[in-house]
Amino acid sequence: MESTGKLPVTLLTGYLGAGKTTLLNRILTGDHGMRFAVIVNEFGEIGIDNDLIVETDEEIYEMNNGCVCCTVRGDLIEVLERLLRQPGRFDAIVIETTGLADPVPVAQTFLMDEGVRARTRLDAVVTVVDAKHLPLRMKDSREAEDQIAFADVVLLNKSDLVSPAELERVEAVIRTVNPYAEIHRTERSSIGLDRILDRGVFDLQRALRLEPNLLESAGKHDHDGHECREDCTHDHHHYHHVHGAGKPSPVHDVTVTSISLRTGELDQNKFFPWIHRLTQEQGPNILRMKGILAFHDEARRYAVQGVHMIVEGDHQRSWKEGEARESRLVFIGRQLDRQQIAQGLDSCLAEEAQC
Amino acid sequence: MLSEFQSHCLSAAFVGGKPSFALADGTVRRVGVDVDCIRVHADATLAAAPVADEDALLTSGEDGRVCRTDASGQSREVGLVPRKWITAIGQSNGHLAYASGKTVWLQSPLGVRQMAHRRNVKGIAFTADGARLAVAQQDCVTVHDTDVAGAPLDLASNDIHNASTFSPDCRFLLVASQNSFLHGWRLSDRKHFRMLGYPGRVENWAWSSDGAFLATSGAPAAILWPFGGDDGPMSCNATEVAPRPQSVVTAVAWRPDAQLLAIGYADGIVLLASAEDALSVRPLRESGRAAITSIAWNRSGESVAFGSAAGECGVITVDA
Repeated sequence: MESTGKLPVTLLTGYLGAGKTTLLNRILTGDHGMRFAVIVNEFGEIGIDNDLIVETDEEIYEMNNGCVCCTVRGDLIEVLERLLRQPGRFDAIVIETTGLADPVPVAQTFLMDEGVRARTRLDAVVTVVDAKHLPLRMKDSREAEDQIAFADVVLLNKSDLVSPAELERVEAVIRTVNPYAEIHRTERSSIGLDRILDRGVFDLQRALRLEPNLLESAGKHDHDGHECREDCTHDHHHYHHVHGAGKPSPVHDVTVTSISLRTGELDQNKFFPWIHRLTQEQGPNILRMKGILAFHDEARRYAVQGVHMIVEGDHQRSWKEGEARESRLVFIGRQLDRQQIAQGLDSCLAEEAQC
Repeated sequence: MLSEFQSHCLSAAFVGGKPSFALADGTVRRVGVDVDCIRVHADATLAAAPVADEDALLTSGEDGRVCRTDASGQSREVGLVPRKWITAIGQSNGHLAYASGKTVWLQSPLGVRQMAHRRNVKGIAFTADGARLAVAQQDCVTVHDTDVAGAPLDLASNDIHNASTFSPDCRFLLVASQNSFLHGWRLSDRKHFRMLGYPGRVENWAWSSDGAFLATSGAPAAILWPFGGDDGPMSCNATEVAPRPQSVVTAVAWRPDAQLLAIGYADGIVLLASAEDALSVRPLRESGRAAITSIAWNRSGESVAFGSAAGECGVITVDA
C-alpha cells in the first residue's frame, strides 16, 4: 500500500460482455488479504462476491464553471464521502462502470473534487476489451474507443476466441488508439492481480518513479498535418464529434490519435500560459495528457497530467547528474494538430536552450 | 465531558434529556453516568436526524432500515427497503420520509406513498406542520403536498443539491449544493434568489426558533441571514458572527430562546456567540482533533452537545 494514506481506486471499464464482472470477481476473491468497497451501476444478474457493494447511478454533472467538458460524477462524490467516513473499513475501492459509461467524468471527479482528492487516488483505469467483438464495437460506438484511449491497462480478453492473426490486428488497433497503455492478452479475464491493482499508473509521479520509460510509446506512430478547424480555437460549447478532420487514420474506425513530443528545457513563464491556453481552446479534444518537463533554472523534474481542460502538476525528484534535461509530453485525443502543438511547445523553450 | 468514539458523528442530539450521538459505524451512543452503546444498524449509518421535542433520534443505514431510537434507549425499525442504502430521512408532525436512489417513501396518517423522481434524491425536508415535503435532487427540488396526491411542484436550479430546508413559517425554501452558495425560493410567487459569498460548501444550518434568522456554516464566521421581512434575505447583507480567519465554521445551533448561537469550527473549537452583539463571543471548547459535524442544545438551553468527524463527542454546560 502507498504510504500517503490515500485509498487506491481502480476504475474498471469495458463493454458489456467483455469480461468486467469476471475480472471484478477475480479481484475480490484473489489471495491478497485486501478488503474492497465495490461501486457498481446495478447489482445486476451476475453475483458479485463482496461484503460492501454500493449501487450508484452514473449521474454526470457539469461543473458550474461554464465549461461543458468539466464534468464530474455527483453520485460518486456522495458515495465516496460516505465510504470515507469510516477509515479502516476497507483497503481499496473498485468502481465498475457500465459498458457505455464515459470514463472522463470519473477521472475528473478524482482530479477536481477537493474532498475526494485529499483522501483517495485514482490508481489505474483498467479497460477490458473483447478480442472478438472489438472491431464491431469500434464501428458502432465512440465509447469503446474512448475507454481504450483512457486506459492505463488494457486486458485484451477472450484472446482464445480469435485467430493469432486477428489478435495481432486487434492489438494493433488498441496500440493506435493508445500507444502508452500496458496491454495484456487474457482468457476469461485471468491475470495476475499485481498487474492491475496498486499500480499507481494514473498518478503520474508515482508511475514514473516505478517505470521511467512510461512515456516511451510502445508502438510509435505519429500523425501530422491535421488542420486546425475553427471550432478548435475558442468556442468549445459547440463541441461535437466530427469525422474526417485532417488525414484519415491508418486504421479504419479509429478517430483517436496520439502525439508524443520531445524538446529541451522550457521557460515556466511561457509554458504555463501556453498549456492553459491550449487546454482551454482544445480541451474537449484532449482525452489525456501526461508529461515530464525540464524547466530552466529548476533542479527538479516537473510532472504534469491532464484530462480535457484540467491540468495538474507538481515538482518531482531532482534531475540526476548526467541525465539529459529534456521535456517530454504526450497527448491522446481527437483532431490534435501535431504541428501546431509542437510549435507551441517549442515556443516555450527557455532562451538559452533555443537553437 | 468528552467521549472518544472513533467514528464520524452524524448527529448530536438530546433524546429524553440525554445527550445522544448517531455515529457512522451504525451505533447510537447515549452519554450519562455510563455510556450506552446501542447497535442500531448492521453496518454503517448513512443519515441521522433528531425528532422534535427530544422524542427520538432517527437513523437510516446501509442495511436498508430506518430506525427510531427513543428516550428509553430502545431502537425500533420504522421503515425497510431490503438491499438498498437509505441515504436521506426526515420527520415532522406525524409524517416520516426516507429515500434511496430516485425513490422517496412517505409514511403519513393517510398511509404509505412511494414517489419516484427523475434524479437521485440527496436530501429531504418537511415544513414544520408536515404538510409539504421538499426533495432535493440534481438540477431540481420537488415539493410534494404530503396529504394531497397531486402533481408536485418542480423548482429548477442547475446544481447538485445536497440538502433542503423550509423556513419555520413555510414561506421560503432553501437548498444547499456542491457549490458555494445557497439557492432559495419565496414559495408564494416562486421568486428565487442566491445567497452568495461563501468560500466553500454550506453543510450545516439552523433556523432561530422565531424564524428571524438562518445561521449557516461554510465561511470563517457563522453567517446570519435575515428572514424576518417579506422579502427574506433578498437585497440584504448577511451578518458575520464570531469570525476566525484561520478556520471555517462547520456546524451551528441556536439556543431555544434564539439569543445565543453555538458555533463549531473545522479545527474542533466551539464558541458561543450572541446574535445581538457580534463581538460578544466566549469559548465553549478550546481545541479538538477534527471538524465539528453537529451541535445541539437541550430544551432548557443549559447544555450543548457536539460531535466531530473523528468521533469526539461532548457535552458542555452553559451558564446563563
